[in-house]
Amino acid sequence: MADYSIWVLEYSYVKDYHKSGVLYGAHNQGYVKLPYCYVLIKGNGHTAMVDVGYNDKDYGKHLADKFGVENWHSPKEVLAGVGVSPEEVDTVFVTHSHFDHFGNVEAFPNAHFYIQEREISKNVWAMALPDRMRWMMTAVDPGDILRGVGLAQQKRLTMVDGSLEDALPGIDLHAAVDSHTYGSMWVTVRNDGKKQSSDTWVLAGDLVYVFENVEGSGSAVDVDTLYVPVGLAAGSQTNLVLATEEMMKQTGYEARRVIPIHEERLKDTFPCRITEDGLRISEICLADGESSKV
Amino acid sequence: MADFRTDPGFLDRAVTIHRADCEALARTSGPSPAETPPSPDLDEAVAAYVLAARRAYDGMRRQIGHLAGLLILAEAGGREVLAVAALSDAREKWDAIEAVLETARTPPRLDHHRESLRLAHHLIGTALSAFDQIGLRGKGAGPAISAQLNGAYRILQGIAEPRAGMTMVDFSHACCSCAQHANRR
Repeated sequence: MADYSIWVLEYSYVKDYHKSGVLYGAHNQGYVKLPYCYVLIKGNGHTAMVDVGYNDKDYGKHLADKFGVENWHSPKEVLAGVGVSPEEVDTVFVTHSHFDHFGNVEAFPNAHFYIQEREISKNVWAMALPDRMRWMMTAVDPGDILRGVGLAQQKRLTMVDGSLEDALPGIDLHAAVDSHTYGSMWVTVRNDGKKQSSDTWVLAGDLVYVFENVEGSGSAVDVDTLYVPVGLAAGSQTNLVLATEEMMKQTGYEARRVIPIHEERLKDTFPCRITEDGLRISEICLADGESSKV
Repeated sequence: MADFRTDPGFLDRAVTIHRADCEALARTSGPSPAETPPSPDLDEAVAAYVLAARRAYDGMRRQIGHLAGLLILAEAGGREVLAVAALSDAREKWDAIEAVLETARTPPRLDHHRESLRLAHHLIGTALSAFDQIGLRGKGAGPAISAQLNGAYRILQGIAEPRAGMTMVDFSHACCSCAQHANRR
């Protein structure tokens, strides 16, 4: 029995992203394709998103010219691939405030948003620091914070302080403080609805970019696998490893249940298809009665 | 070292933070400087203005985010963690930006650019004054303050110039290995 369907929806990608960005210490190891994705969760009478991507009109050309970001498509086009419109989305969980996760809130006019309070408060702190410390607000668009003001004024924003059980029935939120960002969050779906679930999925945001972050090679230290944190951390790699352990614990240490949305090789693990727009839909699980979209 | 007059890409690369061994620092794009005539559009006066304007632009970009974040916390019930000198810090930074704008020497063809910066600065100042009046916990003035900040944001977005490091999102530091795309071209 499964309450929710989960799809990872690609909305853009970078063909050649340096591997050291996704895997700590992987210098001079070339490039990997980096899909930009968000997650749709549907079931229990709800349509929810994990992150909302970015709006191409604001800086799409710059991203394309300078960083090689390609093939952006709107949520309307992307969600149509699973038969959903942005207007149907009632809940959005924002894992962190980087532009490619929090940059398109206006596309979801009927949604209520959740974000960690620390993600806002520590970015406010960082933005008040001297110029020489500007690295600490990397990839944050002040415009997204401004749009967050609009959400707050419309009473469509809940700021979470740490963990929140049953944000939706069977869906929990967890904080990974001072890790990839100051207040990163992951989303846990207990898909059988039980407190001690045996059907748990973790939607990791950018706490995990690729499979190796969870199952890196441990040959150098004579173990099968070990956690290798992502390359970019405003907080610390230590906190990323600690968060990975918590996520793995929630899934009973079944690594395939920790979903990295920037992982191109989801296609090797889950059913998927490429849409007419050249973007991938990965089907993580289906709720009872839901038809496959791939 | 590259010369910004003959290698416009130098400005682009110079405004990012690089590792000591980054290829971008040594790299020149296109023909060598000796083969390229000095660009009439990128003289020293323009370069000096760009360096000053970028400081002001970046400062205002972050002030907008700072004040918007304070507004969210005020509106959505954040804790008191931010009360410590947040507004006085913001006022000091606003004053510092004003000094930069006052002293920047502007080539005539960039007057409109500086006027836009000054207008954005004025709007942020208005928002700051409103914040001063209502305090961090105040209610009611939020829509007016966010309107000022949105206005300032739109102005800055409208005069964004990625080649000069003036963009609303700082992508340049988003990776630990820089210039990856530039190196491929």
